[in-house]
Amino acid sequence: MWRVGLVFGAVAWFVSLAGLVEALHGRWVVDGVLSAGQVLLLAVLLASGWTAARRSSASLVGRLWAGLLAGATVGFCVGLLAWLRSLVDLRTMFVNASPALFQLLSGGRPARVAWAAAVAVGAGVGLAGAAGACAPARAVRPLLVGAAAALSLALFQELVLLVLQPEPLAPVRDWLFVAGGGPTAQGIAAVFAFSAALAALRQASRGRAGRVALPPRAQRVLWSVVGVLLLAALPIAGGPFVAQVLVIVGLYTLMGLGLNLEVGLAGLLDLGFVAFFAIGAYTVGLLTSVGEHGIAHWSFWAAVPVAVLVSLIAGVILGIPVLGIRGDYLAIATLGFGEIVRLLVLSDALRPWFGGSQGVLAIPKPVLAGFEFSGPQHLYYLTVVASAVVAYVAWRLQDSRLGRAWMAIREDEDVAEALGINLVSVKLLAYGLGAAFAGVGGAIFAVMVGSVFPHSFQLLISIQVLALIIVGGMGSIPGVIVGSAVLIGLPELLREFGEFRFLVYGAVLVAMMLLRPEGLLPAAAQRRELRAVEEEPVELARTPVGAATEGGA
Amino acid sequence: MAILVTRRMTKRFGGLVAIRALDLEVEERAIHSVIGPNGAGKTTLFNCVTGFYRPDEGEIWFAGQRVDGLRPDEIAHLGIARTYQNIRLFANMTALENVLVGLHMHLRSTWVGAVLASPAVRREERWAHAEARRLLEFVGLAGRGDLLARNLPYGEQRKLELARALATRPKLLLLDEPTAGMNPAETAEMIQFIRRLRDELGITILLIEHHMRVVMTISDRVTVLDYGEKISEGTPEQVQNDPRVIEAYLGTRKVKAEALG
Amino acid sequence: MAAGALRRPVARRLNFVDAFLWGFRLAVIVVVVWGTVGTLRLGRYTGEQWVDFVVFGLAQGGIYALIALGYTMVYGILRMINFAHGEVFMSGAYTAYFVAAPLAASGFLDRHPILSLLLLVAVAAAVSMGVAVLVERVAYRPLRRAPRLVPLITAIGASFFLQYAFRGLYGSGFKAYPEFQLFKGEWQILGIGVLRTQAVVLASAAVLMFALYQFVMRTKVGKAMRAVAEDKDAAALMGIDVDRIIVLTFAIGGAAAGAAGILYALVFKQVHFFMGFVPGIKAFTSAVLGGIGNIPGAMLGGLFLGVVESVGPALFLDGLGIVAPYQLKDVIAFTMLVMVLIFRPQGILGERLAAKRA
Repeated sequence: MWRVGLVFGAVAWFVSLAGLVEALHGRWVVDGVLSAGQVLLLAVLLASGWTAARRSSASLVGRLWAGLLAGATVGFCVGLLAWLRSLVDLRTMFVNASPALFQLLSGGRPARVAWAAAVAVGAGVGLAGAAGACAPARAVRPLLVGAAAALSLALFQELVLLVLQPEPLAPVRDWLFVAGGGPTAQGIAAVFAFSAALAALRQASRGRAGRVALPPRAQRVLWSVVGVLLLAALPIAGGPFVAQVLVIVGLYTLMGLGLNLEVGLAGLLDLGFVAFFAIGAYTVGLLTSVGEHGIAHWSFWAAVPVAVLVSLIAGVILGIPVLGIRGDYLAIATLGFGEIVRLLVLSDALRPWFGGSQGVLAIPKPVLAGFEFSGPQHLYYLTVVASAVVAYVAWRLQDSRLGRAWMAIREDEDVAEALGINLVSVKLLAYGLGAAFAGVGGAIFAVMVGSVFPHSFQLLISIQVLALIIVGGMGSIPGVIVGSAVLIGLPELLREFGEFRFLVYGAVLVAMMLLRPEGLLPAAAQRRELRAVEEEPVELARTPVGAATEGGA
Repeated sequence: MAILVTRRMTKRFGGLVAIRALDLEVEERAIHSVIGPNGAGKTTLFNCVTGFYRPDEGEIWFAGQRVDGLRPDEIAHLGIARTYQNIRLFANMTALENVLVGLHMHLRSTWVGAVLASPAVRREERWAHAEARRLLEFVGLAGRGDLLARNLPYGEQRKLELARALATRPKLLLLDEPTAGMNPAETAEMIQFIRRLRDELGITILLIEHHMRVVMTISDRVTVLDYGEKISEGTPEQVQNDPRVIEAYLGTRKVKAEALG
Repeated sequence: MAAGALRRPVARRLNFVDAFLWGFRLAVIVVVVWGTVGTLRLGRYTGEQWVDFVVFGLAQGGIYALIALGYTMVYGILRMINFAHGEVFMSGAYTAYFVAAPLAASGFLDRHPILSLLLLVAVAAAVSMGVAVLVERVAYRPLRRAPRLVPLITAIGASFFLQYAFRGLYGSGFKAYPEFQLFKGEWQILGIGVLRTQAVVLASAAVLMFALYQFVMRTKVGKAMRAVAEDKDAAALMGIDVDRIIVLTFAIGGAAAGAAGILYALVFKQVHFFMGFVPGIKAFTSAVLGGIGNIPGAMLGGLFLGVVESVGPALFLDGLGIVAPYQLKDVIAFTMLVMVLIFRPQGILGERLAAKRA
């Protein structure tokens, strides 16, 4: 069992040396008492105890002991690291091995004492983790929910503070937060207890016969209303920064909807997708800019349809050569195309037309009936409208003859062809329409930033869009929105973890594929749910007692 | 009248000759079986007829039109459909959606119409859904439309594949081992079903089968392939007693041993 | 489903897709020929400069070839593109820097350059090997039977993770490798001046490739690797421990990449957490060019790509009057990648993967 401990010890070392702990240390979970960095280390310890208990097949005592041992081993490793630091400056190699880190790890005490303390703390927390693994899931789950809620409060404290800004809410604010600092102990405890209690209640009610729940249709309407209210109110409540983040989430949603047509529905893996975003942006830029590269001085509204059309055509043109390629190779080929486009636009050779690395500047904001869309809040509403339109189109397409043809191609291209589907036109429609959606996003991006340079259109973006589709749930429109909110919105909100954003990204991708490859809101589940509403409302009464209809794993 | 004709059709894979100079004629509204030991080239024949492979030599004619060299979707439009030896359904789509894909070429809706939700499109979709449900019922899958294809039991998957093929309104239906993995009751059911397809819907059936009882019971005509060549052809009785066929399946020594008792 | 490589022509009769593809091919050929003629007529480069380009290209190509080995072997066995292999390459070179710097500071490097070099190669190979095996164990092994898309996403995620992990560990700056005095300057080979560094890199790459080729072809383990690549299940039935062979494949590919990392550092002199991305793509291109799954093919592809990339901008882009042609050298590489994938996915030497079953 100390092997488990060693593995987690390595994780603890990594997390410390890579700088994660220190970065998180700057954020209080309980002001002055517990930092997020410490929570991270505690989480590692808990996880080690939990895993060790899970792995061990011995009796209850045996499993608890395994957890304790694992935790102690992790503590040993942490102490070892602190002790090493006291011997030699690790910073020549590990740039983030700063004094502050070791201050944290050793709790300010001399190395030997700290080491012993680390082992003891490790053992205790490991034991707790093991206890969690041995306890029934029903007891543990509410605790996890409570912990998640409390952590969310800590991580998003700025946002919460923003929402709580108005004077009438001052008492709530003062109760939850230390003035100018992090959450108070009672605030965190209250959030934890409240959420845990809610979760426990919900769980208990599920077991009883005759679920106290609204039928799916009413549920959907409820969520839609909540969603719309949130969408309308958030930028106002949150201020320009939040509005900016929401615009970016919206743009990625637009791109996600487009790539979803290609990847989620038609199964065409396109890693060059950002090129179409870029084409939309450059088209609007070139057509509207008042700077040196502008070739016309159109209004935004005239330029957008052109941008969409150009993107669509580009999608078709770049799709034609790769029609016969499948699978991984298609991913690489489209990646190649995307990079070629970017490099060409970046080059000095094409500088007279595209502005090279400096790009196209001086793109004016859109003006509608004398009203200028100057701030992120205005653009936000524009983005929401655009997203709604595009989402509607995507939804109609999904449920159509073409959408079924796409899915057939994804499942088995040869059989689809044998059923009379013309692969060329169906695939090109996927590429074209997907690109058009991205073009809309690009158009908005151009006016949001006011300029377009090639640096904004890297492979990284294509990968991010692909990731958000996968994590959200492939082929599913709500999935795209959720994916965008989680993978794009959250990191933007948690700005200070900027450096580690992609680290977490990569880890999340791997974890999702290992644990839940179908995504958070997979398409199949939704469609079955939808159908159950429209065609067999009687189904609900036949739901067996005690069974949860969502994945109750 | 022969609905499907192959003339001196040859298909090679590198050095291997999968089918050699095959002359085959399938009469309209006939149930015609193709049998032969494993590796005889039967599935390759199907693949050539459906356009998945292009024959290296020879011709294929369907309903008076030359079809070798056409794309599979073009051939489907002409009225040829098939099922597969190891079932190839669209696993992550529902049974109903599988059949709806089969109806693809008989629908006229465009994507523009779908986006605009025009009345014509909506009407057509309603019709398509009703028709798909009717087909599911026809094969015995009534009420199973909303299950994902991969969650259906084996027997139902075979039926679904049939329904999907029937949705294309074929004139010629190629069935690749339709009774594989079935018990006697299911096999009898399938035999009846295939007869219905021919009798009620006028579909010509070309059948690959290993199940000799099925072949003998149902076929109007049987063609025997071995190592890519036709070694016998005729009614089931004729083929059954053809010594060349017996030898191909069982090997000469065993025949002699049996003959000697 | 079949390997992504085999492709049936989408339409047999001449239609706009075929016409388009022919147009594409023609355009590329025209660009290359016109540019070459233009350059040669302008006579801007001397013979010596061309030789320099070629030698540099070969050295660069040797590096690509070594990295490509990892891609091609993993694809041969698991039919997946190990997106994280570029980071495997980076990790060895980057970590070895922290051995190289003290060696240089203490003067050991100058006193025993060959020994130092071997030591660095060993360190880099070990680290890269470790990272490769770790990724396999954590991210790929649980997903062996998953649908195609899943391991690809996992590989992308692993690639990201590794890049930023090393950024977090070692920092985001460029680290300059110490210079080897022994490799400064030129050697005269057959009357042509060849940069010593490049010659060493090329020679080392050649030796390593040869050694690897012998290993895969002659040894029992190598044969087992080839067996698993042909048919995993049959190999298992023959008593081969498939898991162990897979780990070994990753390990060897990783080691080769690590060695390539040191050679890269010799030529380009800097290491950086992001250095694996572009060489990774180029190495993958090399593997596909040569025929993926084909080890000599990967080597050939690497050398070929390296030379074309080095000679190309001068040879054909300059002649077209393009400003700053070197900016477009990656365009040349990517164009070659795309063309190979479209027109000849089985590569120059042809891949040895099974044909699709009907």
